[in-house]
Amino acid sequence: MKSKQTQKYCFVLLLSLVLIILTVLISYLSFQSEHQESNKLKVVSSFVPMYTIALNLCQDIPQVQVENLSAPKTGCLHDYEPTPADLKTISTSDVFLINGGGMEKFIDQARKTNPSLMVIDSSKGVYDPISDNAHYWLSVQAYKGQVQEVKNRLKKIFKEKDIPLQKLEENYKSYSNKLEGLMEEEQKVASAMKERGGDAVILQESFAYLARDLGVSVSGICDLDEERQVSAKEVSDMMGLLQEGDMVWADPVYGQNMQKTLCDQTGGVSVTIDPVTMVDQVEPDTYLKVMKRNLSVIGKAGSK
Amino acid sequence: MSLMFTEFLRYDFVKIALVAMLLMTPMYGMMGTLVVEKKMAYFSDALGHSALTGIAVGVLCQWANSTVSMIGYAVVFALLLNQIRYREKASTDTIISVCASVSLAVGLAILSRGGNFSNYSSLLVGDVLSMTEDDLKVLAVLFVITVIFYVICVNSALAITIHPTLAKVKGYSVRWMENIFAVLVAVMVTFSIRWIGILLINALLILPAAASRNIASNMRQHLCLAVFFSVLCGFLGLFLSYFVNVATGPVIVIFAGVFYFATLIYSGVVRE
Repeated sequence: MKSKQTQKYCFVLLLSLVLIILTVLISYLSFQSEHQESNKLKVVSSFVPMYTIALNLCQDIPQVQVENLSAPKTGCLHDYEPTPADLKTISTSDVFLINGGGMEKFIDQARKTNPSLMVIDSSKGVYDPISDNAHYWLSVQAYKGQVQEVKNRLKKIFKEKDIPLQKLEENYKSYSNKLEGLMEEEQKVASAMKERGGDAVILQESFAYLARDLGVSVSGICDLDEERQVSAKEVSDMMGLLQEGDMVWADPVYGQNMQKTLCDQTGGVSVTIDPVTMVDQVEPDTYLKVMKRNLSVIGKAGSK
Repeated sequence: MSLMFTEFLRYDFVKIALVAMLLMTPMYGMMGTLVVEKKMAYFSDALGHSALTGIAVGVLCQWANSTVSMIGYAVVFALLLNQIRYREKASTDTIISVCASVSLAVGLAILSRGGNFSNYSSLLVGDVLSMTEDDLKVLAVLFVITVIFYVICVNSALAITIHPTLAKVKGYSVRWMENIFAVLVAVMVTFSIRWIGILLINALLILPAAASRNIASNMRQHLCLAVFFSVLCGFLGLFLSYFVNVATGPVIVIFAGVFYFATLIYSGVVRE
């Protein structure tokens, strides 16, 4: 009997030891792989649109290192909870670049984690926000304002840290020119839309910015995301708003079912717009590419 | 290697989470043994889900602090469940399932008004690292209460579990005991829901105790092993999740799952 008890305790001890060793080993491996001491200025962005700003402005500046916080594909940050590693990243960063407007709900937590963190709230560069809608980046003009705000704040920080400003200015100019080009394209689509007439129903709150810039009047908004359950009444309300030939704007993930239903039932034109938040591989040109694609999709739908 | 540990202990949020683990996991191990013995796993699960309805009540009453409404609702819900269990003839799991789903449906209906459910979805998974020092104080008080309850009431609670009638004859007040126990579980579960998450809170309560029951040969062993498993899983889960970048709650539960299946296999081998 006694030996049986001893055997049992030995088993528990052994099992615990194995688990402890495994845990420490796995942790050590991942710790080593990501741990590189550097004395660069570390800029962390909160999600994809902010990351594209940071990538563009800090391109080819060797003293600055850019990182994005949430894994791409998270989508919007409304329901985002930072993981332990995110908090760790924040606590080792110098600058935190956020969208603002209440999008980053965990900002207080981040400030607490790292009291010396310099937060750049890019929403301060947005002059004509839609109330209760912080998806500024889907308006190219507002996004450009965000880029400018970030550049101004980075300039001050660079001065403090003795990092040359020339490259930053060059980067800003080049990105801002590209954005102006995008805005010209936007104007073309806008005038085509004006000729076409007709309203749009949008299945993402964020698209309100794009619709505003294109002069498309929005007859209904239904904000769909991963947690959203749509009631039958909502669907029928939306159908009531749609007339034949009206557009239904949806994102490529959450709005697809609803979009199909609405278009099948009412003869609406389906338009799938990428909100620039669910990108696999983020490159400096990601924002430009995605928005260009969005404009061409809308332009094509407009010609129907 | 030591660099890794220095980094781990450098941040305040980790220190707070460590202390929280030290308070929370033994408490869960302890109460878990009673929940498992009393075959109330489903009951505590229902309490966890009722947290959503608690929040909905808070939203309706426009209370700023959702924790209060959550705990208040869970306590009422637990007492109500106990009442219905005594009166009705249907089996306990049916009654719990009925009450839990109705309550959950009401909660979801209220919270999804205007499509706002995503604001509450963080509660489903929880976040151990969002704890504050104030939370730790409440947790410490809860810990002391739980230990006192356990020390004083463990014998009567077990007697009631094994043979309610006999326990009554011996002078234990069965109804009171059941109610106090239910309230304590309700408070414990709902208070920690923001950190562990609605989906996994019950696992933390049940798994360590169930793993320990696989191999324990008496109540004392059951308790000690459950607390040991629970604490170890808590620390390992926090440590690993910090370095490999995943949410903490699920990692803790996976560790607890490993303990459960390992002990299950071990007990099978020994019996043979």
